[in-house]
Amino acid sequence: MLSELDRQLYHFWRRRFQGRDAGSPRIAVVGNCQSFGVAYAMKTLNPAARVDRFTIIRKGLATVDMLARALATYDHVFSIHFPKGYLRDGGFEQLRERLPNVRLLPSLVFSGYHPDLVYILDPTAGGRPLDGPIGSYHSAIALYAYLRGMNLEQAEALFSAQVYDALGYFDVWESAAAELLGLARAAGVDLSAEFMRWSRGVPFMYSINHPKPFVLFDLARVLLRKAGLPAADLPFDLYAVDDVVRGVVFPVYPEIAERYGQTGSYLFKRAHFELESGVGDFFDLPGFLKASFAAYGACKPAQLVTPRTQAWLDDAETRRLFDFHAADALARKYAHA
Amino acid sequence: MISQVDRQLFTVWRSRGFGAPRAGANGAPRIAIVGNCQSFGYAFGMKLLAPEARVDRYALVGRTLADLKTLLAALRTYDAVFAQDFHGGLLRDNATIDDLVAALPNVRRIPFVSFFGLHPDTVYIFHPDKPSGFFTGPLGVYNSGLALFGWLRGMSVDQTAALFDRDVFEHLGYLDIWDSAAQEFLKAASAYGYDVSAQLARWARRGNFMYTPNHPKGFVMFDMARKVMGEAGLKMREIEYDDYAVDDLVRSVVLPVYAPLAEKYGFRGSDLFKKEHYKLTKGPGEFIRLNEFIAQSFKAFARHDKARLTHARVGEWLASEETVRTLSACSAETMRKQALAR
Repeated sequence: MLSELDRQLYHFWRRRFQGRDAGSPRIAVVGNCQSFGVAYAMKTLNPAARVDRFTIIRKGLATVDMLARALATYDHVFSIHFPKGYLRDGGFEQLRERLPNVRLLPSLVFSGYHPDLVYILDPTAGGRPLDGPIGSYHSAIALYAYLRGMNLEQAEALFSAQVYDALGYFDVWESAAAELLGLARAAGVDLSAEFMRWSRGVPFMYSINHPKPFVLFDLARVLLRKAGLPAADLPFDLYAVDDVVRGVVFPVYPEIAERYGQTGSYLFKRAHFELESGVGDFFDLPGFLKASFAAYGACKPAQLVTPRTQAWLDDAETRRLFDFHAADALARKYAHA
Repeated sequence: MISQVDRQLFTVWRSRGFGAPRAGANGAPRIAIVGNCQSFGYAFGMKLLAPEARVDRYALVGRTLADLKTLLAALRTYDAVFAQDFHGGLLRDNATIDDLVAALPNVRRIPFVSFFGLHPDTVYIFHPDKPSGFFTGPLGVYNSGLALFGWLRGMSVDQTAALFDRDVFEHLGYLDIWDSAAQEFLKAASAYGYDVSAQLARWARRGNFMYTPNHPKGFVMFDMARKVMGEAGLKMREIEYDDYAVDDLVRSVVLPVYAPLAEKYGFRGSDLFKKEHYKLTKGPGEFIRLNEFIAQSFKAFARHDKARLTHARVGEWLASEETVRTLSACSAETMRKQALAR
């Protein structure tokens, strides 16, 4: 099966043979779902440049050699550090051996707004992420509730400030910030000033690894300047094409958003890329839980394992805490009914 | 050719097995939006404000195979139908919004957001030989009045680029256009029964809110969706648009707000034109700067007889000796300054 990268390489050589790849300098961006935002921003900041994007999202037919030969025609190459498994015969390290001048592109991850978001890496399928109602993102609390045998009403009752407080969801900002800045630093980029700016406004992430486009715009500007390339002083809002928002939006729960002076919601947006074919779909919290439970019901228990939920299930004190808060919330709900 | 509406009709009938459409969760309303390029923004905004509702969009942007009868059969199955105006050249039987309203009296007509205050130089050039009636240049139907003036006057690309200057804008009244553009927009909306003056004030406070004179930014369409839903008495929830800001129109052309105008409104301007680019998987798309835009416009103009390229406002400029003299003087003065600065 052809991957996006295979198609991009095909289009690359076709354009090249047809002489349709004008523009200077020539910049290539090799990355994941964040690569469009970075490539688009580089193009906006430097419109005369030729900017092409090569996406490392799923395995296809491309080899290190095929990618390296295309990338060798560019003046500047920015690439994420991707593991083996996406190209047929290697990963980033093998690519770097062929292209010593490749610059590292940090992949931004920030869990400060979404501490409840987890992946379920299916142990029975070699750790492949298990899909739920909104793709590979899951709620740890929802999964725990399901595994604990709670019903939907009990599960919903767990989404409260008291539970978040007990689970430490209000205390993740510092470590999440350190992780984000550390990832950037490992790629030779200092984003501390940018991070301060992002933190002051509305939540800057759609999910733990899907930044809003202004974040990628700032990252692109830092990378261009570090590479000695011109970057126009341009207001991003004028041209804000956002690819990532067409994917999943995991809400910032209101109780968490409130801590950061924001509003938040429990509206889970499903991925929807073809805007011509409708507006897409959303789940509210009860709908999301119902769909999650249905997805988990179709799995074997051995598939539904995450270190976090396992630790909660293994710890009597945490089990008691969850049970108490579910019961307490329902007792209060019915007392007021 | 199958249009977006044809596909939508097919999808809707298929999904419901030729029966009534499924209601949203807990009996939430079924909402249909009939409209043009802005219909996605209306529909997405409504879905965001009422996620449990079923919201379908019928985009009338090209000639369709469907006729009014087919469209009506679908629309009658919704609890609420909102429609923007559409003219006679879209549905197969050339039906218009008036025919739709006559056949479906409870359809709610909703405004088209059009605002020239940020792009006063943008003109649609009529061309009698084009099927659409409009001349298309490097950015489709969006052309520049000053570029057309420069071309018809025989100016060079550089001379024409030098016209994009504060003094020229002032002389042509570009810097004073806000009030009339605002009044025009508010009047058009009030013709449909909507007072959107508070919304316009809020948008203006954010800076630039239009990509082109008829392509608003996503938050504008979200506010419009909230307004028309509220007037229709539909239930909505509070939600932060910026957290779910899917924007269809930004994939199309983005015209810059030139610096002299942007400065007046208190934000930063630009001279960068974004070309339309819908397939994001195929790359970041293309941009051109002012000089390139003018050069490409000239190439497109050159393919036509000058007498066939007409625009009322540009025609007035050309007919006025004072305007021709002032613009020529401003262009020369700007170029002189540029030469001295080099």
